[in-house]
Amino acid sequence: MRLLGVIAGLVVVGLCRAETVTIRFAAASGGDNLKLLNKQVAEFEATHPNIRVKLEPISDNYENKLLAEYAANVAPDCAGFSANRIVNFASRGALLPLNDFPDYGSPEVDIKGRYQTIVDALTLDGKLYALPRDVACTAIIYFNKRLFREAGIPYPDGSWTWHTKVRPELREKDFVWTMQQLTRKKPGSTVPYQFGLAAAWPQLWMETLLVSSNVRMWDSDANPTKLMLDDPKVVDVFQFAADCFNVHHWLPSNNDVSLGSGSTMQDEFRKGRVAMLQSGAWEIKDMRLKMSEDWDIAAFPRNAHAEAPYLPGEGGGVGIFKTSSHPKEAWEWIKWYCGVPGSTAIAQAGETQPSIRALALKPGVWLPNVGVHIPPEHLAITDALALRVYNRHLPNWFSGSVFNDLGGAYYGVLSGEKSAREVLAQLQRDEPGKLKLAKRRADGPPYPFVNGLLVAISIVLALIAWVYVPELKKKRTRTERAESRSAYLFLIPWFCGISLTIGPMIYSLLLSFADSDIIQTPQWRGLGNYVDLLNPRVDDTLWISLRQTLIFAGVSIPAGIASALGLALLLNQKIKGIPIFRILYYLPSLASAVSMSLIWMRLFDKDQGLINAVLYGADGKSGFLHLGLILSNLIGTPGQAINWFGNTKTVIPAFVIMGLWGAGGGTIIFLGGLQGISTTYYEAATLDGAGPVRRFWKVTMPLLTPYIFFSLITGVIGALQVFGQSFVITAGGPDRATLFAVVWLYDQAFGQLRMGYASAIAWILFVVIMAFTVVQLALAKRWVFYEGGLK
Amino acid sequence: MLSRNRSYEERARAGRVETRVAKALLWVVLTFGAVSFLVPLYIMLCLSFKTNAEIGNTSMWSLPLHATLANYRTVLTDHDLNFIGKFFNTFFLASVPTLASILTAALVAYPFARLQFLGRDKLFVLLLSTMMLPGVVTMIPGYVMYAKLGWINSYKPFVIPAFFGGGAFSIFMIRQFMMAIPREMDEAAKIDGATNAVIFWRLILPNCGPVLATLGVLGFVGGFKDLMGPLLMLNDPNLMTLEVGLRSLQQAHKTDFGLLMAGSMIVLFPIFVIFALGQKYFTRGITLTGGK
Repeated sequence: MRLLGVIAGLVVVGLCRAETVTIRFAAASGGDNLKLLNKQVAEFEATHPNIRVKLEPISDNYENKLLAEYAANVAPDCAGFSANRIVNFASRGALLPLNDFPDYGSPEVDIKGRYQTIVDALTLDGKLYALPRDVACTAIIYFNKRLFREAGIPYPDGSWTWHTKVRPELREKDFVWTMQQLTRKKPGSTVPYQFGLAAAWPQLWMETLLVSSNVRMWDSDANPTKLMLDDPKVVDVFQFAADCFNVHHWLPSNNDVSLGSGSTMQDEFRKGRVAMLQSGAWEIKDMRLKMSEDWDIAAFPRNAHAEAPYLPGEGGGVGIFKTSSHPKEAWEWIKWYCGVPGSTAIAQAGETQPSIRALALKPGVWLPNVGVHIPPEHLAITDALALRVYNRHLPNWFSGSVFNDLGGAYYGVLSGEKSAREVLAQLQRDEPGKLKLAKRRADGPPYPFVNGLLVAISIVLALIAWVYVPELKKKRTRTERAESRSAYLFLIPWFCGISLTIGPMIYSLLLSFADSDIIQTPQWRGLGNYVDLLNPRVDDTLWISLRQTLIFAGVSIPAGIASALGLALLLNQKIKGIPIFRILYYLPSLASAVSMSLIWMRLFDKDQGLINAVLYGADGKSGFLHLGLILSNLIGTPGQAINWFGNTKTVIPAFVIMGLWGAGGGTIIFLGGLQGISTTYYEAATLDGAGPVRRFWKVTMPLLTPYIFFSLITGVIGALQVFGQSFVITAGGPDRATLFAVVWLYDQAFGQLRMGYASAIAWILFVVIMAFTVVQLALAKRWVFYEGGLK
Repeated sequence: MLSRNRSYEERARAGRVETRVAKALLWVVLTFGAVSFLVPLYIMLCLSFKTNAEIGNTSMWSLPLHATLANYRTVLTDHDLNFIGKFFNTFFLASVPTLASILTAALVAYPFARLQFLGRDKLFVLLLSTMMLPGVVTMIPGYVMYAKLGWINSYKPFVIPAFFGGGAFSIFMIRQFMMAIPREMDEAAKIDGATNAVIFWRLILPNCGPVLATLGVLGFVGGFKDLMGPLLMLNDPNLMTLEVGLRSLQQAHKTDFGLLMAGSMIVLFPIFVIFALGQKYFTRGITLTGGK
């Protein structure tokens, strides 16, 4: 009887286990966010015993990882998507339309109770592809109350408006006038000590003005056929956006304060150097914790002449991948997670504004009190702003190209080199051709995979033939044949490994003749990618990018090798404490690259950085040997301190200087080489009467040439693929000065999802690197000395 | 043993700075250089002991007024971050593949450096060419390949390829070192009837101490700091590494400089220890070349 009970129990447990489904949920998250997510998953599982949620937090490269997983058919069941990027997945059929679930219209899902703006943003062609979780308007104005009081301006109540001209008669009801009044300069100085406004990131300001003024830059969002970039209204807004930085200095530009990661503008605001800050509602939590002065928020002004009060925004939701094998269970989870239970917890943590409007308006849920007195108006303000968010729905073939070029044009105007009229007229001329190309790409013929496979096989066969056919004619002795055979035994591991390397390489070569967005099957494009790349009238980036890459390589390789070699020679001396020195010099190259970049940004800071302090001295005029003044004249900004990362002429030297701090890596290569030099040579040389200098040139240098050669070859390969510094610090700017080949192709591959185009760039770069390497290999015979060399 | 000691002294006499004045001068130069090299690290260290309020209000040069360990405590005790567990994962991923790749790279480098074989020079160009294509475009096909092999969310993509020669960089570097080893010894051994395997194992490999140690350190550091590999190949938070943990910390506290720097310092420390231990080996070297 008891036995039977046990068996029955086991059967029940077994049945239950069989019914339990595990779904994978990917989320971009870290730290605090992750803690909350884990808690939510536990809560959900307690109420849904049949569903396990496996959380896969992705702390970086979120979209890239999802793309890779989708391409490999191992995508998670569901994942978070931002309103601005979901089109990349949804328009390519990677996501399940949620309208098809039978309970889509139920009160639990509550589509009607959510902010229409975010529902629209996640909807494509009438189908909802992600259940909205949060809504985020990026045009909240944070203001410093003290600075308003000092200027005698009443606190803003949101009823202000803006126009591209100052309207002093409106006083504080004119946003631009307010901005102007709050910008304070010392007499005689051009750069203010206090700025009227700062945008949380550089492009936000332009974007907001364009959206807010309702200008039309193309005829239709769903199917753009005609561009109107040179429309006077667009030009006017564009120029105004740039002038606010360059001419009026109402906003701090990169030239005025440090170019930093997005965080610095917030810091400037908290320090009282900026009177108003434009950012999203997520900043409220941080502001409460970190802002010591009295502050408040207000809505971004309406444009004085625009019909709709639109503002830009972000926000997002959770969608289900089409490849999911448990869509029903995933749906259960996202209903819960993006529904009242999940959203409440996130809102209470101050993370994001819930997409369910009733929750966003409920005191104690969104923006709960945390110690400080919070005016209840904040709920109303964030609610009103959420209703004003406007997300464009652009086809994917359009958005990548146009927004990238608009951004580039904006920076061109910001740098003061061109006027808005010029850059926009140029874009208007160039863009239709590009769009026609982009559109044609959207419906190209399918990729001939069978032929591709045949090509791949012939490439491998051709490589084998190239290596071995010339060898066949040579006569070999028996010992030579034996040596060759035993050599191949040593090479076995490499031959096993090369298939892992060469397979993806050949695939990318095949892809360079295709249009590929990673998600859909590639389309045949023939030589099209290469033709576009080599034709500056379609895309002039290749030459600029290659030029800048070569300049970087040309400066950084000699500097790097010389410093590493010099350091190695010093550290090879036998004096007290040398082991400590070796460690100290190597330390900087051990530290996290991202952290080091953040520190370097501070060291190269225009106003407070160490480098400029040495060059210009405390008063900005003296400094070490007056070097600063000389340098300023050289780069064409006399009288101004160098803005290292913000100037096209100094950004590469700054990167090279940063690179020298990583010389430790090269140093240990040379140290290894120096240690390998036999002492007998020195003994012999000394006996022959050679002094230290002669010994260095006649013994040390020749014996180090194999390592110098090694450093040159790997240095060229590495420098031509430079990526990190530009990616972290300048993102290709200023004005494409650091848009190195790999930085550019990375953006093409993962920013624009043009993997075919990116592959073509990569293969052009491959050819360039190969050319350099072959030349070096040929020249090596003349100067590299191998003690145990073969003929 | 005796010959080795002697050669050390002679080396000191031969290739190096001798006089007291020169030594003192060198010391000054090295100290000055070291100080400037350590500037960024000094700032990182100071920031890691400051509260956010202090970072906002003081210069980055100032020593922490109210030094606090709070940043370190936050990083080390965060339950979800699980730094201790991640440390062991990272240690594994930094050491095992490195050891495997150094050994197999030496195997592959040997014929390139010291044997004549069919198609050697062209195969060498082929070897170098595997470094020339940016990883951005091979990332997805590589991932798809590993997924088809079922290696995703495991350490296989890190460990197994390491046994296949360990990459062109290591092979090339070891080849350069091996080519600098005089050929008298292996010619003699060959005449005595030694096979290539014996020559490799008994004569060449023991002479490669410095380069193997160098690659060991570079490989360990690279593995320790690798972000993209673990981020892409692993899904399970329990398998993740310190660098990934640090990154998620950065994402969560974008403006929290002190916390970021504390995290960087904690990651830096173990690599520092390994390097301090390793440098003893590759600077002393197991150089038998001249010790006939």
